[in-house]
Amino acid sequence: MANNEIILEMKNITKRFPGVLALDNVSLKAYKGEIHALCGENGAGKSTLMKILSGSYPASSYEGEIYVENQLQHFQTPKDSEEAGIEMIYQEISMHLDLTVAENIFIGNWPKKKNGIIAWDIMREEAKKYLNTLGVDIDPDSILRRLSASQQQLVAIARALSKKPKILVLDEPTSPLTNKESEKLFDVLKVLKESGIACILITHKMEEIFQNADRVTVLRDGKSVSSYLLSETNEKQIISDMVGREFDNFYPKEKVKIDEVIMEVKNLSVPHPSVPNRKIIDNISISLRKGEILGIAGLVGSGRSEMVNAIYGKQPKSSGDIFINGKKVIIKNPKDAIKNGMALITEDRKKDGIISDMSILENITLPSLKEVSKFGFIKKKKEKEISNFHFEKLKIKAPSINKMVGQLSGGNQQKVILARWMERKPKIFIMDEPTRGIDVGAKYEIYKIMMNLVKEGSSIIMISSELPELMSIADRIAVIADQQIKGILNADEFSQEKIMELASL
Amino acid sequence: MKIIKKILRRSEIGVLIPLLILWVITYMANKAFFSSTNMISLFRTVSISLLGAIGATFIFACGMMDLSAGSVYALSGMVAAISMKDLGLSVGVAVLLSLLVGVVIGLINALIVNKFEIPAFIATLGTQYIARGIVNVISEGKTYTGFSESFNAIGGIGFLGIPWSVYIAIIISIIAGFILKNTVYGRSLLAVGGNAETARVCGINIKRVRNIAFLISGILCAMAGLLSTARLSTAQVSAGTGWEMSIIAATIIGGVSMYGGYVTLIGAIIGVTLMETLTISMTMLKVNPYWQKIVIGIIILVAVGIDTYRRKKMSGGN
Repeated sequence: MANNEIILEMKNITKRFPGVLALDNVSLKAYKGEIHALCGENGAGKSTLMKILSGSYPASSYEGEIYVENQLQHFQTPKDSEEAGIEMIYQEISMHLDLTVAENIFIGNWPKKKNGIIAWDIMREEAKKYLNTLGVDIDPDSILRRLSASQQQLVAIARALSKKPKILVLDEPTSPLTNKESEKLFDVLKVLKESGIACILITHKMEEIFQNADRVTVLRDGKSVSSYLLSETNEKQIISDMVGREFDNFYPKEKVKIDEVIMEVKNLSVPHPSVPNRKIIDNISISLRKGEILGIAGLVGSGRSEMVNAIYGKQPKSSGDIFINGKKVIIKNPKDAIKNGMALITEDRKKDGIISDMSILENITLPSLKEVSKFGFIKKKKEKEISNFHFEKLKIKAPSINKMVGQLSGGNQQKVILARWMERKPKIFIMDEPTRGIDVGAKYEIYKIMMNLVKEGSSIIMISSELPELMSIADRIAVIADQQIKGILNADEFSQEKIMELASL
Repeated sequence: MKIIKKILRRSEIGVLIPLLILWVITYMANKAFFSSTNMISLFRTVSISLLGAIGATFIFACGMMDLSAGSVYALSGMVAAISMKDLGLSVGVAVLLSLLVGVVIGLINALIVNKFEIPAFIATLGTQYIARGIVNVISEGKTYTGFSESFNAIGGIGFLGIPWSVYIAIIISIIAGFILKNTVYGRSLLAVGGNAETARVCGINIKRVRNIAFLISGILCAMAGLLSTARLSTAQVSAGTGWEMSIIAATIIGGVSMYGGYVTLIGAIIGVTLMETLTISMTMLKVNPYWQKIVIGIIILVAVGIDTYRRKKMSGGN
């Protein structure tokens, strides 16, 4: 990083919302041609800071100054910010799925002929040019919907590049991507950085920061806590800056007695959800023991989620038998699974985990409505007691159990989902990416909860893309690739290399 | 003070205030507005439409749509009329057959939506046409009048000089409110509307929940059609044409979310009252009848616009 030229400086930014001090004197300095990681727990103020940078909050609504290339800026609208050379790429890709790649790149900015008609051939050529800069081979005429998540993201980046930015902000860009795709994305970012663009990367993933970033700024509770060159710091330092305390043992793994087999899955096959006549899981057999945490590794799209969803009856299976305590059980839908002592934490909280317009209480008792009612009438007092019990036990951060779940942070939403199932005391707990998108402090609490669950005799199947997490928490890891289990590793055989090797077979 | 604040913060206040303003304006222009005849007539219409709006509330709660309401309304009335006039059946049997119309069409809607997975909008549009067609076929386009006194009494004035339909609507409202707030079914209904896939993962049978909602909507619309036929002592093929749209509009004006998961029964009641008052008020205020529809259309847009804006603001303005 030879460059010492400051391209962006945000100075003493203070932003107040009614009753809340969202940002308290925050400063951020980004240099030309660097990848600058911005990290912090959820609610630390990262998004607010970026909304200020993008002009979503007008200059009059906060205190402090923004300089781009030493020029003082007053962004009133996102347009102003764009004109100053700042481009944002948001977490949820805001693209038009039914338009072509080229149309997406030039949306709102179409090259026109003199008579005002869109110059399609120029648009195509230009699109191709930007895609080539990124070193990707995507046809500008293909419809965006047909592309993979990572390709869509690259198109989003191409769109940003078409506006010739000096500063590119990426909000958790790798969350929908597989490891390989993420690597590719970072290769692209490194090319951009060489051309002098400063990339500000908002991320939770330590691995990403250490492999790719040049500098890191940590926010906590609306304050800028620290800023380091990556070469001058380490993971432990950053985590403790983020959470404000030291973590001696970040993974609270304890030895739990592992007993007899509780569940056996035999010859499970699952049809591919979108490609007819293809299987996404083909003839898998696996067993789970009492008190065990069985890890499932595999690339995104390997069929790992589909496998557990099929076991739980959330999606259909084409064949396969499930035995619980040696007895064959029929599971056709989630209701059957619940009856047989299973619980599922799904991969995507928003999509099928929470009901955001319902309260914490209503979300917690959802699978237990029968138990909290008599003749179909809900016993409100009992419902309240149960919810309050878990609310306090899991230390859910909210004013009360009547708060809408949609307004909680990701970590607290996940705790609500955990509470929902813990009330049912499931024997078999399936958790699909239980710590995705959750800040470090809440992650630790969720590991703790998992340990308590197995200590009390539950068993857990845990899918995770974060290998360090999986290797620290699981007792065994099954690696899935190409519709099958490629290997099951015992704790003494765990290594990232070995898992990745099996996963990419 | 606290109670007043609490009331003011309720979402229904946004429709209640325009309603009260409308009442005051109409009263000032025409003192006959609050006369007992006028009030009885207003609340009789409100009570009948309210039955449909409660059905719509259940349908919206689980994220569905029922466009067959107006046709069910017509068919139930026609079935009652033909049972008595052509088939010579007793009033009791006619009433039962007419309510059965609601049950059957409700179940057919449920079957089409849940078994054949046709979107509710299309499915109920289909049954709307079919039911309306059946009305034409069985009546051969005739208008039926001259029912027995005991049948007409159903639509007439009851205890304390208040129409029976008002009592029925009050009882149904109380039951509906209780179901939505205090029963497993009500909770499941809102859960399915809030996020159907989450509800399913939590073991709720989402199809059954929706089936029951269609059934409830069907029965309530049949009840409304029956009451209206008895009140007018007439069954005609054009009865209830466009009724589904006005109850949907009233329900949405009241603050019920079309997208599922959020309902307010009090809002629906106020919404229906507002819609029905509008019609009466505009006549009393001598608004050109040609303009009335335009005014109603604007009010729908404004009411829903205000509500959307307010809800956005409440949820943090993202």
